[in-house]
Amino acid sequence: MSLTIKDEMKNDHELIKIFQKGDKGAYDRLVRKYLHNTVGFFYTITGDRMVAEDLAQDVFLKLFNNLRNFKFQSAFSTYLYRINLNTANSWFARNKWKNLLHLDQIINQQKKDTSVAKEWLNKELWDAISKLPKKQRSVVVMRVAEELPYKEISIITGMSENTAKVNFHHALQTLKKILNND
Amino acid sequence: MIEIEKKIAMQKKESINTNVDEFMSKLNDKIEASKTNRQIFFTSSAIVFIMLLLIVTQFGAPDFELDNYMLSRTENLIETDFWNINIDSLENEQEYFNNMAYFLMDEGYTWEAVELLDQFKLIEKEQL
Repeated sequence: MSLTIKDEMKNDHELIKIFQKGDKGAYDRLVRKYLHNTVGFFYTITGDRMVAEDLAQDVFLKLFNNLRNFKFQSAFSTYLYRINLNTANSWFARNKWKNLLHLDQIINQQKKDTSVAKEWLNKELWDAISKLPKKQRSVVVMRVAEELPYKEISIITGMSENTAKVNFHHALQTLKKILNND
Repeated sequence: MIEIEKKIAMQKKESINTNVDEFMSKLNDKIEASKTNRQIFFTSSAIVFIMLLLIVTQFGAPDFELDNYMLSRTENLIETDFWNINIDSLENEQEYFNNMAYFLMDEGYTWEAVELLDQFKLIEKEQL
């Protein structure tokens, strides 16, 4: 029998309450539950398994340090998405110079037709996404990597649903320009 | 559908097999390291704070050392016009001769002490 979203939320909140009482086992259960989703999210963005795992570790470390202050006003998954998004934004900022200097884009154009084509396409797209303004980038990241509905994106980013839609639309326009210029 | 939307639509969330136990072990190590770093940070901050507090309040510094640097007669420092300079120098000389006389008496040079006092009387007479 599959659990509903409300049941999931209740379970997560119960685990957090147990953790806040001092049981680290509850935290481990939360990590195991959301581990694959988080690593997958970062793997979609970075395309590198090691980097994705490192970023996921950063996320869970931040979670460990801040979970005692969790206020139970939102679903745990929303809280975790927010940490994921902030970590992803920090990673984009760190890689800004690398992307500007094109240090890791020395792939030969001929290789585009081979099996590397998909990888190239992903890299090209995420490099372009990293150049977007923060708000647009946040919406695109959550839409593309997590396939979240606008409603949830609006809760995570703190903007209205319509603003999220507008930002996504503007992001698409900007991405089109960036990719055409490249 | 514009090309960029096609590209985005092609993005499927990749599923990768992560070794959960290895990941948890690394994470626990990081958590422990983070705890240790926090403790070191708080202890260092506390030590720096206490040191600064001791420096600012000069806790435990002996008071008599302050007296050595502060003249009991501050007018000597403040009043530096010509009228006062003579008086001050006379007072200082008198103090010097007195101290020297006590020193000579203590050391057993009685006649030298008497000579010194005579000299001082002579100087005093000359100045008057």
